Amino acid sequence: MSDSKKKIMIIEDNKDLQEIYKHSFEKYGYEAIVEGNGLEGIDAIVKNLPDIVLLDLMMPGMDGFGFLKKVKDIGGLSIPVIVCSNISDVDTINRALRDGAEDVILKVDYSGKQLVDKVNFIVDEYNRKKGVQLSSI
Amino acid sequence: MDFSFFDKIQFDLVGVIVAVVGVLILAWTVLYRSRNSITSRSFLFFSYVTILWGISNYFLYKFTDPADALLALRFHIFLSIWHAYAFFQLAYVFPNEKKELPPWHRYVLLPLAFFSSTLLLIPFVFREFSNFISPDEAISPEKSQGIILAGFVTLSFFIAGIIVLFRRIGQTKGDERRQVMLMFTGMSLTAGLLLLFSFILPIGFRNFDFVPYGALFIFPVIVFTAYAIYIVELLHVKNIFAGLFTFFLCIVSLIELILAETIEQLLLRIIVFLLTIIIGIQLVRNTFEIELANEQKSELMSFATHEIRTPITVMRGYATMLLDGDKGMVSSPVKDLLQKIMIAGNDVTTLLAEYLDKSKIELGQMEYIPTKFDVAHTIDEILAIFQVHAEQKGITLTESVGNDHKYMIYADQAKLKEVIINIIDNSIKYTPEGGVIVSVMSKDGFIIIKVADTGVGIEQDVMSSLFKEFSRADLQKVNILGSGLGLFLAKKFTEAQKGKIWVESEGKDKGSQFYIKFPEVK
Repeated sequence: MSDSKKKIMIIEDNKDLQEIYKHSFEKYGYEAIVEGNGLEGIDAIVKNLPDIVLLDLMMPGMDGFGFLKKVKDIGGLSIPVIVCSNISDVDTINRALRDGAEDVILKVDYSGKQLVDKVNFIVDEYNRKKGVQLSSI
Repeated sequence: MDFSFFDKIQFDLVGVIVAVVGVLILAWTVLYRSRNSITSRSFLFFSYVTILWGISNYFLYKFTDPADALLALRFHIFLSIWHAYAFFQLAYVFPNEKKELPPWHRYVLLPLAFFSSTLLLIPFVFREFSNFISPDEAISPEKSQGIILAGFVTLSFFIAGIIVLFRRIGQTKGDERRQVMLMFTGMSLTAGLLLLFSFILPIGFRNFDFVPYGALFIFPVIVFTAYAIYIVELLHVKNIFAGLFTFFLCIVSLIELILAETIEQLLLRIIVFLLTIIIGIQLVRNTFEIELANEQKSELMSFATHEIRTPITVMRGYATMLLDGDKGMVSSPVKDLLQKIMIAGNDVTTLLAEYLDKSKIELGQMEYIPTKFDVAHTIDEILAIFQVHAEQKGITLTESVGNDHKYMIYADQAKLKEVIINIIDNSIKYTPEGGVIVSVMSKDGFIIIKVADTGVGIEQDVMSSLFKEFSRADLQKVNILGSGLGLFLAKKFTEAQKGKIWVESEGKDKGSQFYIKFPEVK
C-alpha cells in the first residue's frame, strides 16, 4: 500500500472542464496536473511521470492523436492514457485504441465521482492486466 | 483491317479491351471519390497512359507492312517513356492527398520525358528494324543511340519510381504503410508478368503468344493502387457493387460486339457498348455522389453532436459540484433545481445520441465494437446515475445481482449501456409509484437482464408497436417527453449483436418487465 497520492495528468483545452476535472480528482484523493494541449502534455509527461493521463482529442496545437503518437515514439512510458472526448463515432474510438489509448470514455456521460470511479476502474483493470499490485489512493 | 477480323473471338483483343474498360472504370471511380487529391489525379494520368500503351502494344503485332509496323513501334516507345514517367509521378505523390511536385520535377524530368519521347517519333533516331520477319513475331528497332537513350530514360523513371516506393515503405507507418505496400505488391506482380511474358518467353523460348496481352499485365498495379487509394477513402460495398456491375455489363456487351455477324449488328452493338460505358460510369459517379452526401450528412451530425455535448458536460460538471456541496451547503429547493438541470442535460444528450444513432442506422454506418465484459458492473454504473433520479421521484430503484458470479457477455459495451439506460429510464418515467428492480441472471448458457417495474403497464395492442420508431406507450397520461426512438434503437442494437429484447406486461396498471438476453461467455 502506498500513502502517496496518485498523479493524474488532465490534457484538456476547455477552461471550464479543466476546472471541473481538477476539482473532482483532487476531491477524491488525486494530485491533478492540467495541460492545455498535446504539446504541453508531452513536455509535462516526461517531467512529471503521472500515473494516469486523461486526454481530450480535439485541441488546438497538438491534438489527442498527436499526443498518443508522440507517447508511442518516446516509448518506455508505461502510463495508461484514457481518452475522454465527446466524439463518439466508432472510427475515432478505434483509432484512439489503435494508437495506444487504454480506454475511451464519453465526456458527457460522466461527472464528479462517476468520472473518478470510472477512471479508477480502468486503471485497476490496466494494473490487473499488467500484473501490478493494486494500491488504493 | 477487314470485317473478317470480327468473325471469331480474338482472345488477345478481348483481354486488352477488358483491361482498358477495367482501368478506365477504376481510374474514374478513384477520381470521383477524391477529385482534388494529387494521388487520384496522378492515378488517372497513369491509367490513361496505361490504356494507350496497352492498345499500342496490341496493335504493334498486327501490322503486316513494315512501314506501318515501324510507325507503330515509334509510337509505342514514345508511350513507354510517358508510361514510366507517369508511374514515377504516381509513386512520388502516393498516397498523399496534397503534395507539391518539386521544381526539378517541372524543369528537369518533364522536359526530359518530353524531348526524349518526341525524338523517338522522328526517323532521326532509328530508321528500320533489326529483325522484322513476319507479323506476330517479335520486332525490335535497330540498335542506335536514340534507342539507348529511350531505354535509359524509361528504365530510369521506372527504377526511380520503385526506389521512391521502397523508401516510403520504411518511412511510413500504419495505414499509409499498408497503402504503399499494396502499390508495391501490385507493381511487383506487374513487373513479374511483363518480365515473364514479354521478355523471358519471347526472347528465351521464342514464344510470342502472350506479348499482345501487355495491357492485362499492367492490371495488377492498377487494381492494387486503386484499392490502396480506396482504403483512405473508405470503400463502401455499394460502390464496389456499382463498379463491378458496370464492369460486368461492359464485358457482356463487348462480347456481344465481338460476336457480331453482320455489319448492321456490329454497328448496333458498338452503340450499345458505348452507351453501356457512358451509363455505367454515370451509375458509378451517382453512387459515389450519394455516398459522399451521406458522409457529409453524417459528419455534420457528428460535429453538431460534439459541439452541443461540450457545454452540456460543463453544465453537468458544475451542477454536480454544487449538488455535492463542494462550494458550500445548498438548500433543499436549490438541490431540486440542480437535479432538474442534471436531468434536462441528460435528456438533451440522450436525444442527441438517439438522433445520431438513427441517422447512422439509416445510412448503414452503425458499427459495433464488441468486447468481453461483466454486465453486472455496467448495471452498477447505470444504477449509480439513476438512483438520485428515482429517489427524487419517490420510487425505489433496487438491484438484484448475485455477487458470486461474473455475468460475462461479448457485445459492444457502450451500445448495451445505452440499451439498459433506455429501459431503466423508461421504467422510472412510467412508474408513478412503487419501484423498479433490475436483476441479472445466468440461465441455460445465457445472461438475462430483467428490468421490472410497478408502473403504468402496457396494453396488448400497444405491445406489438412498442419497438417501432416514434412509438410511445400512453405518453399523455404520464406527461413524458422523448424522441420516441429509444426502444426502436434498443431493439436494433440488441439484435445487431445477436441478442434478444422483449417485453412482458399483464396489461394496464399492472407494471411491465423488459428482458435483454445475450449468450454467456466464459
